[in-house]
Amino acid sequence: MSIVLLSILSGCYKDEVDLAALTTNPFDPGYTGPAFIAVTNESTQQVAPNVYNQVLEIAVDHGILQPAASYKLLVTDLNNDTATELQQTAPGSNTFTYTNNSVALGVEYCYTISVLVQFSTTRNEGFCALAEL
Amino acid sequence: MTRTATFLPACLLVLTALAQEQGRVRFFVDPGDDFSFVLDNKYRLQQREISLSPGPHTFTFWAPRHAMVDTSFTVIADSLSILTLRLPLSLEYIDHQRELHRFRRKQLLTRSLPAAATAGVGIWAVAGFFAYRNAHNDLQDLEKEYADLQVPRAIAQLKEQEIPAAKETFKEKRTAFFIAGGLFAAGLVGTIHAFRSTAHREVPVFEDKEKLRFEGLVWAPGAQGGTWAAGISLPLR
Repeated sequence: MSIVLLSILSGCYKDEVDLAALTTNPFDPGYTGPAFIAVTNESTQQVAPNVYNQVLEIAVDHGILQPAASYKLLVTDLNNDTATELQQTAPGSNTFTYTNNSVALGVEYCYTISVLVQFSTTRNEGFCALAEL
Repeated sequence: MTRTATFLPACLLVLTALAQEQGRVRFFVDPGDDFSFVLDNKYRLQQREISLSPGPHTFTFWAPRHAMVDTSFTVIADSLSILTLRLPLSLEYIDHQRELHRFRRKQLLTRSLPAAATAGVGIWAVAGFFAYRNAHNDLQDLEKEYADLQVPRAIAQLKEQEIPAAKETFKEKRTAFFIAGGLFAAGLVGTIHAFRSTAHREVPVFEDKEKLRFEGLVWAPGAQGGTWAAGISLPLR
């Protein structure tokens, strides 16, 4: 009888935490859900003779990523291997603007973009665009 | 009438003379509560003091669970004598005590120890179950924490260190609980078996053979002469 009781009791508790399935939090670097960072607009602007900037308008989907506090975006220019932190345009805003100074026309520039919270980043989203007028 | 008048004073004179000649003996016997003695191989008595005619007398003392002791004592006229005696325990009673001790030790080994061990393992199993349950709850809490965290580094630490550690702890607690539970079940079965197998074991009963021998010493005079009286005692429970 006690064996049966013990079996019943032990059957109540199982290790139900599947580590491989823990990928649903968008703040998780291993997040596998839909992208929540999107480049909404890209343009190349001439700011001086033979000097061009590439401007990216970036939006974060707050329907997926629901931050409890302000956050930054980290944009890494893979062509030059430089990283830039972007502040929110306004508190609570989900839009950011990134400007890559001195791009060369006709060159494709690639970037990785992620949310930066307390010196750690979410999953990188990749974006490439050709610098052209 | 004249003969009666002459006889009565003579009897009184003799009785007075006899009373004056007797001596008293007081017994200080260990054990002092229930000893008996046989006087001069004839009379079984149970009293602490006796008046006897002067001269040597034989006494055989006995008390339950004790051996008989024979002794002779000279009674002195018109005086109180003290007889001090310590009766040794009978060999049968010492053997019985040993047998009883063996019986109790056997009972202790076959009943109390398994029961105590099973109870101890039972406590361990219960404690193990709560530890197992707590480990499970900790794991669930970490899973909930994953959904609420908003710091990527903390999430990574949770997934790479805290949850694996909690899983390992959960496994250990579950294994410990299974072992404790299994031992408890085995102990319970063993204890029940031990109790059942020893349920009809009889407690050693002391048969005071020394008492039989003592009671057999009494000589009871009858019309046709003397007879030896023997007795037997049966324990009624």
